[in-house]
Amino acid sequence: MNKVTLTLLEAVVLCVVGVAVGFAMNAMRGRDSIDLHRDYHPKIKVHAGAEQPAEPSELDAAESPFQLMTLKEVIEVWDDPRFQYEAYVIVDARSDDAYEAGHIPGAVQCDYYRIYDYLEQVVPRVLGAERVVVYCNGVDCDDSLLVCGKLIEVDVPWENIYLFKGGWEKWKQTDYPIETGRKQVQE
Amino acid sequence: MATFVGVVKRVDGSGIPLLVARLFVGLLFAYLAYNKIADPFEFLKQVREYHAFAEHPPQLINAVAAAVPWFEMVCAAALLLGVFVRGAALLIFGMLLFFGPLLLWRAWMLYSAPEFAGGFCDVKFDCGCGTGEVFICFKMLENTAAQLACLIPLFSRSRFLCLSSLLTRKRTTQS
Repeated sequence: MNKVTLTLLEAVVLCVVGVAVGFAMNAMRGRDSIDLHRDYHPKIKVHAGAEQPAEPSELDAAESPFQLMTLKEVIEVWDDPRFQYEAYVIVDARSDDAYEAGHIPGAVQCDYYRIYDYLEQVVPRVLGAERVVVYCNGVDCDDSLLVCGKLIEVDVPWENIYLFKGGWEKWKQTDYPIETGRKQVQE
Repeated sequence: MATFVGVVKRVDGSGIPLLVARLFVGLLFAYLAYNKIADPFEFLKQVREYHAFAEHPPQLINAVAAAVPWFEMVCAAALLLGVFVRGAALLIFGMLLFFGPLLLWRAWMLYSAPEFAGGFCDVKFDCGCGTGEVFICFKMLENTAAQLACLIPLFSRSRFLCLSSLLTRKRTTQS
């Protein structure tokens, strides 16, 4: 067998082994396993009742499927006593590492990509809330938008859902406190 | 010319260039693969950013995100162990050839954005390579160095410290 044929054969074997190992390891990873059949990035349609924000310069005024909230408005929600008794809920759509490194105090985590681990705890709280504010890292992050789409699927009224596009990057720039570690869910 | 070829053959015969190339590419790809394996969903997000694979139906892009990091790790292990060295080098060379233009395209999109102020080499983004945010020029240099290094195992006649040659030698001695 000449060198070229041998090289190609080695490449084919490594391809087969590599892909097989990849799928096998993915299947064994539990909550870090990518569900091959799940649509992680569904198209989210613009809601008929979506209004444009009052200050388009601060927010992305392009069509948004959800109501947008400015940093100032998020701070008002956070300062409001209704946030303390969970009539207002703030949801952090980021992964464990990002959430534990720092999040808006009192925000509950709902990692979009491992969402089925969180829905059982999050759904009862958001269903009963008057306002649900969802954020992730910042304007370049889609995870908050995708979590909002999931909240609609579990029957959270559209009018109660707000998207904080500025996200963690904006909150960090304020003098407001940050919380680290995991929020203990009270049953 | 004959002297140059002779020098190259002698240097190659020492096995050192092959060993250095295997270690460089193997360790680099093992590190990059490990970072992707550690956060599979971050890699999925980055794969999506390239728009190189159809998002709907989702099976293809999900399969790429699930399999590619482990595939890279297998190739890196093959290089480091010295097994199927040429095949591994060819695959890594091919991957870099495929992803290189995609990286450049994505960097160009960021560079062309009206809000971006700076030179092309100032473009910094998470390429999904496993290193977090990198400057595009540094990344292209790294990729080019890795591609050039892959040529050594592809064309080297040496099998210095390769597991495959040690096993072959053992089998020959026993028979």
